[in-house]
Amino acid sequence: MSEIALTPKKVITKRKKKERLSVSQAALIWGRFRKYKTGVAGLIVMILLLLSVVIVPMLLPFDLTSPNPLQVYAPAGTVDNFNFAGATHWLGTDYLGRDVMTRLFIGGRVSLTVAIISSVMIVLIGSVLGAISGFYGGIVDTVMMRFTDFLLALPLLPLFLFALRLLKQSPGLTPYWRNAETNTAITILAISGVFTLFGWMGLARLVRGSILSLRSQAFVEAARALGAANNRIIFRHLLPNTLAPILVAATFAVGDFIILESILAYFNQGINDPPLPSLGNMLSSSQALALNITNLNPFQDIRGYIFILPGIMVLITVLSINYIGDALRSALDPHEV
Amino acid sequence: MTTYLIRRFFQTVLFIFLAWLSIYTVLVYLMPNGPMAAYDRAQQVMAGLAERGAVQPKPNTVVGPGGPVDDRPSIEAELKGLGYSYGVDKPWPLSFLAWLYDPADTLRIDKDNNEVPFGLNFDLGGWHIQGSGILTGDLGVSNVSARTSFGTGDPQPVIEVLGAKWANSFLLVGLSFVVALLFAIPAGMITALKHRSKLDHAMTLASFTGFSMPPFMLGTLLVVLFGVLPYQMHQRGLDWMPYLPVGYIADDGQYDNWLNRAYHLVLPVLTLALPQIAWLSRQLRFSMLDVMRNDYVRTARAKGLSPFRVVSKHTLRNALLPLITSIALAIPVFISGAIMVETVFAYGGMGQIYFRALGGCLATGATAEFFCPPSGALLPLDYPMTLALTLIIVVVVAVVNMIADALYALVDPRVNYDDKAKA
Repeated sequence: MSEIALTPKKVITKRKKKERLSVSQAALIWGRFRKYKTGVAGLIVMILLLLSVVIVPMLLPFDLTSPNPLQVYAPAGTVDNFNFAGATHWLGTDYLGRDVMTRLFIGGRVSLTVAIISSVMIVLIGSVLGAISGFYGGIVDTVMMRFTDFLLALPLLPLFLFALRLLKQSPGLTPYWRNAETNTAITILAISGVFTLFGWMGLARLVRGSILSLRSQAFVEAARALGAANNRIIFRHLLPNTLAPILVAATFAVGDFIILESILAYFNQGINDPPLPSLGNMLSSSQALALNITNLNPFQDIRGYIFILPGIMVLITVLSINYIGDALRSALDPHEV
Repeated sequence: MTTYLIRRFFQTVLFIFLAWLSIYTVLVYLMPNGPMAAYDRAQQVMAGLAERGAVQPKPNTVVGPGGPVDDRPSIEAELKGLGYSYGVDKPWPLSFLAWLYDPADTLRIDKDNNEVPFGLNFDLGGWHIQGSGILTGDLGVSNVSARTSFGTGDPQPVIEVLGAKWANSFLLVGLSFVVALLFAIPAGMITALKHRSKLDHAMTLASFTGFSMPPFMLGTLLVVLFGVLPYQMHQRGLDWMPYLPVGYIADDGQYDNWLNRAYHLVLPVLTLALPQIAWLSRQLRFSMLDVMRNDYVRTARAKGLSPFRVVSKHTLRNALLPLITSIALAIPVFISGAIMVETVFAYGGMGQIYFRALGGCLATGATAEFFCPPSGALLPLDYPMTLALTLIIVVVVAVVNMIADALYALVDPRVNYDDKAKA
């Protein structure tokens, strides 16, 4: 009796050790993602970037705001002799004598923060609105999609600038903008809020499209027959099935938002420079320096590199994000051979 | 089909109307420093003055026939004039309609305080048409002059400023559009046909690089690469890099020298076109790969058609269909790119004016310290100019979308547009 009961158990434990019976969805996707070498390279670069953006500023003694009037535009490798005497400016200093390397990595951190916050927000808002629109159909769908189309056809860049202006000049928010402690937080929130406000439409349409094709399938009917409420069907059965296109769109959106932030900075409406650097405001404030490069040796003249370094940072970041997104799209697409 | 096109046309008109209404409302009524806010502030100041008994004007020195006469307008009249010139003297939706077209508004007061006729005034077969508004071409007077790069100088009528510059912008955007298409289609085809080859990987890297940076950075890098660095090399006696001298566009008589103008268009056009080449070729690559999976392509190849025929007749034609939508979506990107590219290259077009009107600072280098605000501080918007250019962009984008939809309906027989049921 006891022998019979024991046998199947043994078989299962044996199998578990050798090969897994079932593979989780994530492992499946990872297995396919791994085949795309450029995507893996992008992922590695991205992880390194995220780590360095956090760690490198910690290793450097410099802070963001204290200027160094004695060493303005100091070339690479200069030793500080003012506030942080003895420390080396590996990448020189900018027009206020602030360390470029610290600013570069903290700028990258700020840009990535804004981009990731906005990307998460558009995923939340876009997928919920798209799911509601696609699931309920009828008048709700018509009204919401008309509104989405309306927003999509408007010129985005002026809208960003108008919305930021509204936020910056509205009397209710002025104390927060003026206060040095809250300025940083409200700048990041305002910019990512504006990106969210005018950025969710593409995702909503994407989600709506896949929900439309999914909602007539048998598993939804089964869920309904079991008595599942609409909310449960949407959030437990439909949205997880649309995760693939959402993930791809969100990845690409991070890159787009980094570029958009730098475009806003070019209009002097990005992150404010005196408290916080960002890749965008470093690029736009040093553009004139790049046009007047006379010496290419960074150990003699750093000026051109103050533009080129954040440029390379933007390029590497967005490039790796695009490669990750591209590989993700291929890995998540069942048709891709 | 015709029904669809007619419906699409009216949708576009409705969209343009609603978009104009919302942009007008945001700019004129909601902006914290906008016309309506300024008008409100003036009203408050006047009310405060009246409370303190300062309303009574001082006796004026102007001597009329019956002694000293006060010829200054009353405070009410001044407020009314202010409201009129800001366009906020009527309640909200009416003011928008009056701003579009107002048949009653036919007189303006010129510098010497004379009333002069203004706007349309003509007879058309028994109808007398008169009035003014933006639909008659009156886009207002720019309150920050675009004549100098710092926005100083006399205010100019918006229509005159744009009239002098629109051709330059259309030349730039049109040329880069053509260049983008000319390069994107072959590039997309090649990458799709040589799928996963070294060439494909190289082109993918190039195109990702193309749209992985903001346009102003790409423009600056191109200038550094083709102008600044070779010039520095040349100065040091190293002539191995082709050196593009600055040229002489500012000299007298050089404006109409087409060779000179073409020379100065190379880098701006390249800056605008490169990201679009990357984007469009990538879209074409995807749609070609999609089409190449179809059975009819395999059939065509199996029945012995030449590879050229299979690609040109069976694959490319079908793959170009989705590209119509991508091209229509690229137009707004061209426009917003042109704003930055014209600014980077100091190209005298509408984009540069729009950049200034939106609160960007055109001063560069040493002058920037004097004329540009510190980071985070805002230059004032040029309201009439911003309104005019935003509305023009809305119209251009809406019309392009409409044309793209109509084209799609014309060339793609598979989609039944007269079907009432949607999706």
